[in-house]
Amino acid sequence: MKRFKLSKRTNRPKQKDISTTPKDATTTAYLRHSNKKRLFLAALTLSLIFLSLLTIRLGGTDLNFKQIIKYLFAPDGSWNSSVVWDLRLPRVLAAILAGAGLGIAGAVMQTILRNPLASPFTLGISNAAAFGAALAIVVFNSGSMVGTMEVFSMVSNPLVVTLSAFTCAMLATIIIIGLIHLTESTPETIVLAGLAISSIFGTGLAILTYLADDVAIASIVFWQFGSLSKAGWTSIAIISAVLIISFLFFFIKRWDYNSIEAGEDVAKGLGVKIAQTRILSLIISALLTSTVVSFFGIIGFIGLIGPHMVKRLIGNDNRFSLIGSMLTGATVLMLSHIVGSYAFSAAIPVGIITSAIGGPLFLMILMKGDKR
Amino acid sequence: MIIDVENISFSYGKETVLDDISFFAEKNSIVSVLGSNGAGKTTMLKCMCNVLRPQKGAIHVEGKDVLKMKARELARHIAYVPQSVATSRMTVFDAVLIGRRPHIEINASKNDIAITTQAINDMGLEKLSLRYLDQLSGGEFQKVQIARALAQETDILILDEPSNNLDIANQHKTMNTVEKIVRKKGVSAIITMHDINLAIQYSDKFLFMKDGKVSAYGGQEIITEQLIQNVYGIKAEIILHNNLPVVIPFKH
Repeated sequence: MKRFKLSKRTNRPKQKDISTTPKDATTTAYLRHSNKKRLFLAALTLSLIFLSLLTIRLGGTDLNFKQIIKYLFAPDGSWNSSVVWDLRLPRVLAAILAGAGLGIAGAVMQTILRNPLASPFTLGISNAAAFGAALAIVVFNSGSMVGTMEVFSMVSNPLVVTLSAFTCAMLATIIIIGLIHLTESTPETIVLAGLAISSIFGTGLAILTYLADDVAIASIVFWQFGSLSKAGWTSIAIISAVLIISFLFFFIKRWDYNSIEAGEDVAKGLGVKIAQTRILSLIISALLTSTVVSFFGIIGFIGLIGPHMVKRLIGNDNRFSLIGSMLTGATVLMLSHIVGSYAFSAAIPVGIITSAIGGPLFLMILMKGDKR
Repeated sequence: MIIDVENISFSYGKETVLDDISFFAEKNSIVSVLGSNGAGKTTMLKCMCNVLRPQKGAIHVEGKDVLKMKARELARHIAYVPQSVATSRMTVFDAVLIGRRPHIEINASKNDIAITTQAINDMGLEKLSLRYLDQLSGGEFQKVQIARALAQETDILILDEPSNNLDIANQHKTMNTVEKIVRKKGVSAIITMHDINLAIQYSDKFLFMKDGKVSAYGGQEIITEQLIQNVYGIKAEIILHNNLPVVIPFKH
């Protein structure tokens, strides 16, 4: 075969700057469309702020919005100020942080695994955390009966329980990553493996519950019901730190996630390091999820509800949908908290409310199918 | 010469898919890659853009070793449109804008938006730019993939069966657009195709593959009845129409 001398040109292809040409209709329409998405995110933020103030207002001690804002900015050590700062604000912040964390973790998992049903709950990470908590309660004797169910935790050694829950959640993540990379499993089918992992840890949980005494059983059951009443300033500080770091990582990777939306080959062709992006994203999503679950228990389906609402309304562009999933996750969790706390004669843990919404949604997505 | 494939071999485990493949493509040219199913066409394209790594051989783009290039740098030289692309709830504009990913550092600049707009206009997708991908027809979706490759602003386009699943009119529209882009921008397009007569109308060179090997490479003159028999295992007659060969397979 005839061969020609190789060209010695090594410089990058020159980029022609055409941004100075007048904007045409396509560009104008696109910029307007992007602004609509920004407006949607701004509206979501405002509604979340309003909902937060409303949640602080609700409860036995009657406070108006003016008082709430006054105590928020100038706490004076009074009973009302203490109600705002020590009782209600931690729960509101917990709802925002946990909802945002679970929402963005779900959105990222769905993108990198290319499966609309992927979420911390469906991948078995939540159940693994529950097993870890039960293990600590039974084996390390960390459970005890303290006060009433709503006000006080029934876990006497929260640090051990939290660490144990976190370790098991990360173990489930390592199993999932191992399955993706050591076997022939496709990311699309990994949710099935997640269900199996969930079932294995569920069985372990059942065995521990069977072996436990009455107090430990009560502690396990209480821990499993995801509840924001467990919120405290330590948990809020830790979750905030993990959420900020995770968000920054996810946001930097938003172009890679958009490329993965078009499929693996397209993403590779665009220079995305698929395996590295997938592993790191999955680890960080799991870290975020397990931090939330370790402190507040199982709050199912937020990672499914949040991203699906956003994708339906503003599409899959991760530049907007990641932030949108955080905001909708937080909003849905806050609403669920309000419903669970005030809609019934007795307070119901928020995890039960989110499961009641999420279960049917999961079935709806399954029945409707996905056009990916 | 813009891309030079030298003696590449690739195997999945013990199964050899590509065996000592060599060819080159020049600027301002369209190379059609032809051959029966399983001949290794797609695998070869994937090796060329480093989606798969060949076990032997080398690929050079403008003198640079593809296998040693960083993924991002390679994506500035080669745009790849695979056979099957996933659809999602993303607008046409956003899907084409992804093509700018190898050039974007943090945010899409005005220039990135302008280049995306131009790619959309080049493919005649202006009216669909805000429509979601899952609302498009097969032909429209295929155009979006090519528009994304154009937005990537590379000097090599690698298209895997771009005319697949398209009706005759859309097959010609797509190939017409690719030809116009190649001539206008002086880039090189390497395209796998099943329709040999469509390939003849738009290509400058032809690479015939069989069982992972190159059967023939060259201009129209290499297309003979004997070659069709060798590559596809069928008898065919070749007639001339408007100075172009037309392959008419015989009924079995």
